[in-house]
Amino acid sequence: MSIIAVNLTHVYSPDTPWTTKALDQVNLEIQDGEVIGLIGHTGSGKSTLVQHFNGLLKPTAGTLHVQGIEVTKGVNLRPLRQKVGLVFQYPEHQLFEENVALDVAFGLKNIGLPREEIQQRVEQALSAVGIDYQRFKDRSPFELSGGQMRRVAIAGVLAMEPEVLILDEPTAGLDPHTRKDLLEHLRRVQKERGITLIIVSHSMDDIAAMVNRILVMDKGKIAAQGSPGEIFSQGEKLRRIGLDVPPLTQLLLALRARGIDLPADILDLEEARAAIGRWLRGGKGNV
Amino acid sequence: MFKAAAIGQYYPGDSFFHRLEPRIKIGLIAIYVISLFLFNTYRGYLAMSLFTLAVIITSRLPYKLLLRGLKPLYFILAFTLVLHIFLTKGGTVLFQWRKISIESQGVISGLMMAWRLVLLVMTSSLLTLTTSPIALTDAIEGLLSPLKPIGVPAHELAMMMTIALRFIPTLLEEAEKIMKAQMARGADFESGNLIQRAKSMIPLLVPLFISAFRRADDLALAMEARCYRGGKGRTKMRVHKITGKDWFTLVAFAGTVAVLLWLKF
Repeated sequence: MSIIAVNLTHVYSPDTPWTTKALDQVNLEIQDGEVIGLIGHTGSGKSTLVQHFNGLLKPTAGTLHVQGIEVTKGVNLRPLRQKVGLVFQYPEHQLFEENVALDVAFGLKNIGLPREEIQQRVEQALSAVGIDYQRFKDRSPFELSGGQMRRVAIAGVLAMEPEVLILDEPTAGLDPHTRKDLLEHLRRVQKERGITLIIVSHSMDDIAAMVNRILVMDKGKIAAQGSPGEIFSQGEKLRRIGLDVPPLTQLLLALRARGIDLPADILDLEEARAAIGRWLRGGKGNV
Repeated sequence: MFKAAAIGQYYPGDSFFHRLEPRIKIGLIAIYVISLFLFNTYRGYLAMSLFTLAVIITSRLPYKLLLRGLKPLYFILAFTLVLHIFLTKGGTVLFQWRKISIESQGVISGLMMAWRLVLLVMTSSLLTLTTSPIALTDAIEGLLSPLKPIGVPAHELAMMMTIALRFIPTLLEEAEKIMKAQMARGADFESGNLIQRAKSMIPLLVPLFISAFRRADDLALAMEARCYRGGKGRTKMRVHKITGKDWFTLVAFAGTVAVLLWLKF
């Protein structure tokens, strides 16, 4: 089992006028190889939660086990950070090296791998996010396009070969095409390596189809969890905590509200079209 | 790591000292600082300490905040104290070992110098704690503008200060974010010798500079897009007026201090 949190609580700047409770008794379990979508509006605690997973933050109260390691004050961070890769929002802002290959190799050098293995892993990581190693390895990361920079930065974490990969808003600010392509690459990496993938987002449209389970956070607590279909069919509840459901679900919910009996948990456009088609053809009786 | 940098953070309130006109407040602090160096008696120091204490109490500032502002000073305080204790001679000999001696005058002047520093820093931080950065830069612009004819760019200086102050928390936040991101990639900022540590700052500093320049660019563009063209003919949204009460406070404080000094209090 990959991640278990029991009554996990985190308080920022305790004992000052600015104290805030960012996580409030969070309980959750994430299995090996699961693909999780973590949603919640700004300030709901989702970033705080994932920063606990690789030990950047420590629990104020409660316990957290990640890949068998308990995250506490005195934890040895090195093995934890190798097992859990965390890609922050706008990861391209962390690039600093002279060329792409060196930047991707940064983490590998830090853990002291031999040169040949570093080169091999850099090549693999770059191709996993769709960047051609030979063409890009000597280019400055600052000459790349936004989408390419993002891929290079993600490759920097992938090269560490983590068992759990966490991405905070990986597609923010990307155009729809790049967005789709990047997510496809991530999905393939997840399948090939069998890793646990956690994607943090405040809108789930684009990844609804790729995650097994969605965790909804609100005010530092897990407000709901379940399969994407289950979660999105509770449109009203999501709206109450400031989240939107994907356009397709909105349509299905609107149709249902008019008394048309369609399942609300369809996430695939084709499937929805088929269902609506069925209703149109024969279904007056179903109303 | 960046928590200690909270010196001079504005702490909103509605006390008498909060409401004083910022230019007058700067004047008061200036008089205070000058007279602190003119007093050299216990009673003088006591009077100055009472002034500071009165302001702290009436403006309802948390003591923790003030003490935290003193943190960067600990080393200098200890240094001053030690230097005076061993080097200033006079009075009775308290301790003697070979050529090293501690004499009573040394202890007294060491303590007084250290206390002077504490008062100095605490009282100046009262200015930034009770005045919003915007009001403060407005005041500096106001105080400098008589010097405009001789080429002092008062408005530009004030604008630069406003922007710098505005971006301190942003850059700190950014630095923390980049640091975390690099730590997630196995970077180590804390161990190693001086050279290794300096080297380990590169993954932090390069992205930080890049983002600072990007922000500067964006800000310049945004300001130009809203027709910012410098100080000439620019009006203010909030105009600070010096009232009779402000003048009275300034004159009363200056008068009290002058009388105390004249009496060699």
